[in-house]
Amino acid sequence: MKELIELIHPVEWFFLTYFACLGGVYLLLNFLSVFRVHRYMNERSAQLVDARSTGLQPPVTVIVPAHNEAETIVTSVQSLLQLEYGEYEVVVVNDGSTDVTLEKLVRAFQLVPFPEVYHVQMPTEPVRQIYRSATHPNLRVIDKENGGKADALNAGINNARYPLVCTIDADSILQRNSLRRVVQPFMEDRSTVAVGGNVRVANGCTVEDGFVTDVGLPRNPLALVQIIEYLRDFLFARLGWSQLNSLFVISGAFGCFKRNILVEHGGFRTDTVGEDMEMVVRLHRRLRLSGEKYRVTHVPDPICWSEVPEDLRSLKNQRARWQRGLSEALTMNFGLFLNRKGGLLSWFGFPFKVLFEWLGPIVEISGYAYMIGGLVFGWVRPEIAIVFFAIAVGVGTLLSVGALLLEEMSFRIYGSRNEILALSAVAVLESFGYRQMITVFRLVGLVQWALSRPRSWGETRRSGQWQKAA
Amino acid sequence: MVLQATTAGIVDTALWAGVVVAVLVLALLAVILFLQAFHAARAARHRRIRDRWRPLILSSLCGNTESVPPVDQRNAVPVIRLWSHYRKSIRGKSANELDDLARRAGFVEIARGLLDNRNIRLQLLAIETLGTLSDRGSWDRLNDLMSSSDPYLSMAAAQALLRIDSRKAIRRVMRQAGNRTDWIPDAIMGMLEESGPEVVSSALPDAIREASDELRPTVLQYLKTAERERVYPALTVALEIQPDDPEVLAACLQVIGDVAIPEGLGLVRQNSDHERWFVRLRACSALARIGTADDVPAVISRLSDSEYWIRYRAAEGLADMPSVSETRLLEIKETLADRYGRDMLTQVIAEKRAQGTRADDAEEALSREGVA
Repeated sequence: MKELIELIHPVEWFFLTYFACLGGVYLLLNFLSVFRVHRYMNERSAQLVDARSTGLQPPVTVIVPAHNEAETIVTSVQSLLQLEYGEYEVVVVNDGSTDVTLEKLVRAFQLVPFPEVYHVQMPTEPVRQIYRSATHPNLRVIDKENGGKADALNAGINNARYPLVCTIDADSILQRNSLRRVVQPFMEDRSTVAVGGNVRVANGCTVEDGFVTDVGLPRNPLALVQIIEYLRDFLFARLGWSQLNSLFVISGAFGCFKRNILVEHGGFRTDTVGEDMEMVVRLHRRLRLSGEKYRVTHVPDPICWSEVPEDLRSLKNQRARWQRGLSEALTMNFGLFLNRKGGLLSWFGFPFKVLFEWLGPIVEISGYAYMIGGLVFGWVRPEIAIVFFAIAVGVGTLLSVGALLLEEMSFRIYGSRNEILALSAVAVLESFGYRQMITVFRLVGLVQWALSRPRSWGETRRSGQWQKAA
Repeated sequence: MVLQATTAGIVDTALWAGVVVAVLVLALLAVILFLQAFHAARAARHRRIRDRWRPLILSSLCGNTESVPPVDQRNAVPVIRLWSHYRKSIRGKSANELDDLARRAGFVEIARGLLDNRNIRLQLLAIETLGTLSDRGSWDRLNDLMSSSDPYLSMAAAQALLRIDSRKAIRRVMRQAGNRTDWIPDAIMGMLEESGPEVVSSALPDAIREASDELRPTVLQYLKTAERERVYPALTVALEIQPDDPEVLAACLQVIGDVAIPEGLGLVRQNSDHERWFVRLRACSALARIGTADDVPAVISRLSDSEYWIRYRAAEGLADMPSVSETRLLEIKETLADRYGRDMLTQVIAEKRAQGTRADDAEEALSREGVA
């Protein structure tokens, strides 16, 4: 028995060390993100001459892939046409919709077929027709055969006129100054090739004419807890990675790229469900290994709002898809792993992603099962179990509360006392069940990838209630 | 036994670490609630300050000069921000009234005091205020700040100096603009437009000479803010220094086209079939803008260029050339052997027609409203 206990000890230490490292790295990323946010808030204060009309502000193509978005597409496009930016165009790609998406666009914007040359820089599914608006000269619609989101984005890039392209989801809600904010890093540093826009939770907000006019908390508990999750994982962690030039993903909801870079590197892959992440990891791999100076960064300003799942099934589908996307992005670019030319990204960022995010669900669930089973059946000492849960749950709670503190020190989107109290409670409770549930969903995605299930997005229910009213 | 003792020690440490984590969580929650209360109280105080000062500011816009209450240090920043918000959007006599109010309220002294504040946001506010109020007393300090390693502080200082005395500041600002890679070209362009073409023209030839090779193409773009007749001589300075640099050449061609400098036509014609595609692109755009009827064949030849963007610019350019009517465009399209060139012309002709329809619709709408 004594020998058995001594044998089990290494297993316990493995799980303790694993969770300690996981928490430690995220704490480091949050710490790094403080500097970035502080510097960003200072830069935002600089009231330099409004550069909208100087002609050196780079023009932008906003690409909106749309598949069966009849409910919301008109409002989305109307709001995109009201962005405050010097020169930009909106290119909607109707990706073989089977509903009345195209018809609604034609009617709302007086679209007419146009003899436009389709510049094939990357192969896509056939384009049926290109339309231009008689009322909005900076709006075009590409109608094509269905090929998936990545294929639609590539078609948009093929047709883009401008040196910067912004890729957004059809249901993304931008702010009037979103383009200005996301373009700023390109103007500050010419080596910037891609910029991620910060995405916030739209559930519970008031949206009028396609813009968020009032920020609020959702009543749905799943949506509420995702606010904290987005702050922790999608804002401050990404800012931390960005400080290390090791940002692995730019959200498909809102990202901005140099067009020539996308074209040079073949555009978005159509054989993955995580085309947004795969694109960024591929850019890192190619540019880093070729020794080119480049930067991929993240704008901390809340400049894009998106609806998050409010039911378990949609949430499960979404997180499983993200995990499949991660699996594909990492395996398709495994040459970056421990590559001598890859720098910090290869020797820290990529291994972290592999060990703690890709394989993480297996280890984390095993850890919980081992400790809980051990407590029940007696093969784990209670003090070890306490330490384990203190690390696994305690550090997670610390990260969530820390993210809320950073938010309160910077953007203060949720200003009222009741909102802060509610979010504080959620930040504490998030690690007691929700994170573990998400880990299970991620494991589902990992298994799906391993079994090479057909690549589909699965069903995600979206209410889009505010957009219907407009 | 040693193993057990070591294990026990590690377990004790880890248990204490767990306690520390729990205490930290509670402490952070307390800080969050404190910050929320602090920000709410500060927002309420700022609202009161704005409610007191807004009527004063608005009445000063109309020339009603009442006595100005003293601004205490604690309330200075929100008052100055409020003033700055209104000041940005007005010009002329009302702006002078606002500046007068600011001086009487002691903004200059307060801003000078903030120049050395450790908070960059307050420094930026101070710099902007001193520039707007043309405070010559801060000249030396602002000059020092223009050399700051922080690009936003240095750009803000440059802007302020140009507002105080553009003739005196322009050379130093342009020298910095030609050598600092962390300055944002768009912001510099805005500053130069604000300073005026005469001031800019006096400094640009030297600025081009003194710029780093890397930034010279960017500095050339600033020529768009100079006096038209001074542009071409300044361009030749750049071409003398870097005669074989395609980036410099492309920048020169772009300026010639954008500003429409007829003296540059020779240079444009020489480079219309340059080996680098981006030079051909700029030459093609410029040729279409300033070219004569004799240049139409050269532009037509670009319709068969291997680069898509050159074909597009050539087609656009042809459509914009005064000597080329729509009928002529259609003739060119019919006789063009290159399929890609024909497709591009079809697109551009349709675009011109669409533009024409929109212009007609707009004119009709204006005429209906009795405006035309």
